Amino acid sequence: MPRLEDVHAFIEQARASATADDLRRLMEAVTVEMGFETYSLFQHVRDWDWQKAQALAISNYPMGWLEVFFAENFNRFDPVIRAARRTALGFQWSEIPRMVPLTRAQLRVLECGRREGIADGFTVPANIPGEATGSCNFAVGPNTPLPIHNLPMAHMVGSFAYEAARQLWLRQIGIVRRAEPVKLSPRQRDCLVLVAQGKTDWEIATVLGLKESTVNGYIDEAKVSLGVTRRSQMVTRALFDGHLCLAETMQ
Amino acid sequence: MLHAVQGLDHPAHERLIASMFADRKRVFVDLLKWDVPHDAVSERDEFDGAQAEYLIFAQGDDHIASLRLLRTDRPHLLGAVFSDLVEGDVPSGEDIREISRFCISPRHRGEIRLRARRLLATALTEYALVSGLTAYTAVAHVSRMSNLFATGWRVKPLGLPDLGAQHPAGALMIEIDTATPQLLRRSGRYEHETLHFANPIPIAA
Repeated sequence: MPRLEDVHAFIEQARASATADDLRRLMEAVTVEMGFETYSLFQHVRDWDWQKAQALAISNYPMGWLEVFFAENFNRFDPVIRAARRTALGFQWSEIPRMVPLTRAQLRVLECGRREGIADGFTVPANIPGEATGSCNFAVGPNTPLPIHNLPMAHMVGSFAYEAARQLWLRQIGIVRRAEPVKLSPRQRDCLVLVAQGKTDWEIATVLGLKESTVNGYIDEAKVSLGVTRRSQMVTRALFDGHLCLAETMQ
Repeated sequence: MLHAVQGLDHPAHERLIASMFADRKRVFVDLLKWDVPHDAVSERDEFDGAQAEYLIFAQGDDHIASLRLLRTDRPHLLGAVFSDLVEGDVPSGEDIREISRFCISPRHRGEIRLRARRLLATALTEYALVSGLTAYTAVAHVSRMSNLFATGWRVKPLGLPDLGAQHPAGALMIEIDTATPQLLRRSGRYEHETLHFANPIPIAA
């Protein structure tokens, strides 16, 4: 089967998608073409309103399931999301119990999904260093077997679809990428990491062996370089631009 | 500093090159458990040698990140070892290099790793443009695909991955042209530093 050509065609079309609706139509078609019934593609942000476009998310999951999912706050402990955070490799949902121990609440998520027409699926995680994880998920209802022979294609399509959605979303919410990351001095960055870890100027001064006023100066310079006025903005912008990793901020 | 080095016979860069091979051993043998030739301190295989080119990001002689480029009109990994990952003919020619052994030193943590990725992605693009290359090929673990795509490259899969393999991997081609720097910029992955050539720049016909 000329599956590889289908992947090439998908990539070309996804790249050319100018709007989220273009990508939605493309995803609907490729999902069915591969033998699945529905798809969802989203960034794993804990709290968001799926009806507004605050986070990267497109899907044609049954409306009933989406309503239950968000009404019950399933996104906080959904086993598919949990498993996708553990691996960067695509997985079938039947493998999830072997990947993460499931609580009763999580088993209920799977059970509710089955009732609402999301019985089995294949998830392609998207782990991009410095960003929240996300995934592209392809699902089938209770009467359709998972198209095992098309999982390699689904893996490629899912990874690329995520990237196409990511590009669209960044444009849509109006985030302007800098041509090149601004340069921060090593000292500015040291202070930035410690601010991100919740330290006060006095604490940072103690850790780095500097005067408090010097620390304050470095932080002010970093804010100016990053084009923001507040410390919280400085941290988010620095994370987005890749001046620090999420992992560093949580030590 | 960013270096472009062809071959291994560089007395001035001896310690840098040794540092790269040592980090490759730490990453590919110790961490990733690849079954590749190595001794107690270095990982080197039959493709490392006079014809191989290396892009290396380093502080002094201390290796931070690097990758290897192999000519595709000579023996290379995709042609010799991984040809089953390619549907049809393995792309080859004077103007195509294969990227392999992309490695970030596990001795470095945090932001410098992200920076190393940006610097090498940009250096690969600029290296191709100055030396007349039109594409790179590579074998990538499927778990790295989303990050590779996020770089903004025009990536074309050369085959579908075998998800049942011990290290599921896919073969890819990255097409480079004058629009590529802009694609990297749009993805926030462009970061230019001067590339220091240890040899005269090889120009593909």
